[in-house]
Amino acid sequence: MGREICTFSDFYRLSAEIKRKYGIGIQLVEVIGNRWSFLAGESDEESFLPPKRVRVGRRFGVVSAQWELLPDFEKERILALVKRYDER
Amino acid sequence: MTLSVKERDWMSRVIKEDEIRRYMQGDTDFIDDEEIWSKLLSNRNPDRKWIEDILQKSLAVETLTPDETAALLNVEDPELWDEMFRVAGEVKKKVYDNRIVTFAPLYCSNYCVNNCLYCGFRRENLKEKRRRLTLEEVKEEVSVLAGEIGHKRLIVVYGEHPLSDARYIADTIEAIYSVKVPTRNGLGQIRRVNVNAAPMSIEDLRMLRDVGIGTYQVFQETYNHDLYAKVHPKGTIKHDYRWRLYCMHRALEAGIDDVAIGVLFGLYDWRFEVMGLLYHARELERQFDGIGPHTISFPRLMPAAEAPFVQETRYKVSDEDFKKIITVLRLAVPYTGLILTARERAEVRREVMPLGITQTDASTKIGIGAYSDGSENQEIDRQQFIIGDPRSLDEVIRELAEMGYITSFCTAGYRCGRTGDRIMKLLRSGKEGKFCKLNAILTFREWLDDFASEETKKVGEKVIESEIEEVKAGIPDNYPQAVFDELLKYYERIKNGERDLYF
Repeated sequence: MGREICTFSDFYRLSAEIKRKYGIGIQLVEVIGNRWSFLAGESDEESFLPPKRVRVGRRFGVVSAQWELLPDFEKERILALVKRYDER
Repeated sequence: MTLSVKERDWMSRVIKEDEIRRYMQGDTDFIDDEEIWSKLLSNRNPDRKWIEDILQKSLAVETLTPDETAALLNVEDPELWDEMFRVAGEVKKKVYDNRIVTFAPLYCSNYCVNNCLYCGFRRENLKEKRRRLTLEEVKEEVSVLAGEIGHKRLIVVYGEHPLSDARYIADTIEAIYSVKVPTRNGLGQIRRVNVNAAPMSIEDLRMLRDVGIGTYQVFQETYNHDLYAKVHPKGTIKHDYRWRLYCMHRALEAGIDDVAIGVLFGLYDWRFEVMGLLYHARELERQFDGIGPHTISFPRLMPAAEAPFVQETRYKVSDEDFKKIITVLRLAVPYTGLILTARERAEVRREVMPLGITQTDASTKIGIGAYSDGSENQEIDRQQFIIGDPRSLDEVIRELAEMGYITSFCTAGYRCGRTGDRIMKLLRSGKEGKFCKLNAILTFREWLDDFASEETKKVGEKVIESEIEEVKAGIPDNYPQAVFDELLKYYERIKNGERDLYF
């Protein structure tokens, strides 16, 4: 109720695709001061590795424990989508 | 004390009826006093086999139903209670591992427009010395907390008053996060600011969210409608039961996805109140995609200045019943954090810690400005109540270590997206506990190097050693080898002076 999860369905789709292709979970978060608050995405906690935090624009960020393992073009796809949210 | 025109005007604007009604189904709220009593009555003399089945459900980290919770509350067999105490500890270990998180309360203002009959801050208590910290004074308090004691997490407390409105609270949160103090090996700072403040509107809660609040905590005090009306006199904001009852709904709608509830035990029947907390947790789960309370608190009524109800109440909770409260809460809402405070005497804290406690405070001072002014004694005329365990963080940590617990200063979760429904899933699946263990090792290492006395360091080293061994022994079932390797790398970096590394 009242939360914005429903508007991030395209991120859910993309994160599911990334998970399927590479077995890597990515999460979209809203950055509010110290708080990186979960909004959408696929889990990757089974890796238990330290989370990599990537700030995108004023409001958002992407978190993934295996970010570095993703091919650059996939990273760019993800960041481009999140940038669109930030520009709304 | 008469309210000023300005105070009255402010009070008239606080409650927004539509921000209560929008969550209600019809004209009733989700606490039905009669239903709670009926559940407690109809589940008397529960069958032992049923209780054993309920315990299995708790071990599977599933929220119990009202009938199941009422059954647990009705157990009379001491042997069965012993079994429940044991399973409660097991549930905690499964969800949160072996760690206890520590924090400190920071009281910023004791001005209050309310007049609660059990509280030292009540506006008719003319003996209370009123004070609101300036932002500079807040920073001085934090310098002691983060620079000398070594806390990383605070619960900041405010009376309900225009002088401590949402704007002031937001400013203090920002002030707290801004403080960085030199320690033995780097900089000390508060990494998570939780807030205990009066119910607010969605707009005000967004203001707190925007400055990076950790958890928003509001206690219902009592879930019994009639008693609530009696101890929170008419003409005060707090008299409105439903404004308070639905404040976590508003917080979640405002985007604060870590919320905390609690009861002041001793106002009313403790079994009823445990049921109230369960109903509250289930209501939040139902309306917000499974997000329940991040923590539950269960303070017991303590002596307070000019607070007549403290002497009057016939519901004071014995130490034995206090153990039962904690145990049933742990079993009924297995994923939630349980906070034990320094209100309780040291011997009580020792006794109940194994029942599923996840957080506790230490080096606690609750006088306004009491950390930085060096006062050692408790002063009833500037405190909300009297605390039972004034021991230092170093002493409490040493004792926890001697009991086999590792103290954790972890604040990682809310800084990397493990919040809201995601953290709930992690807690329910037992995965969060694995992060807890890793982060406890790293943050305890930091604290031992930066703040511990030699005596505490000695005991702490043994705990760290044993925790690292446990991680190693958990390969590959609990942790991949790569995680253990990464843990050791991080651990070395922290030993060499790096700070704030986490999983």
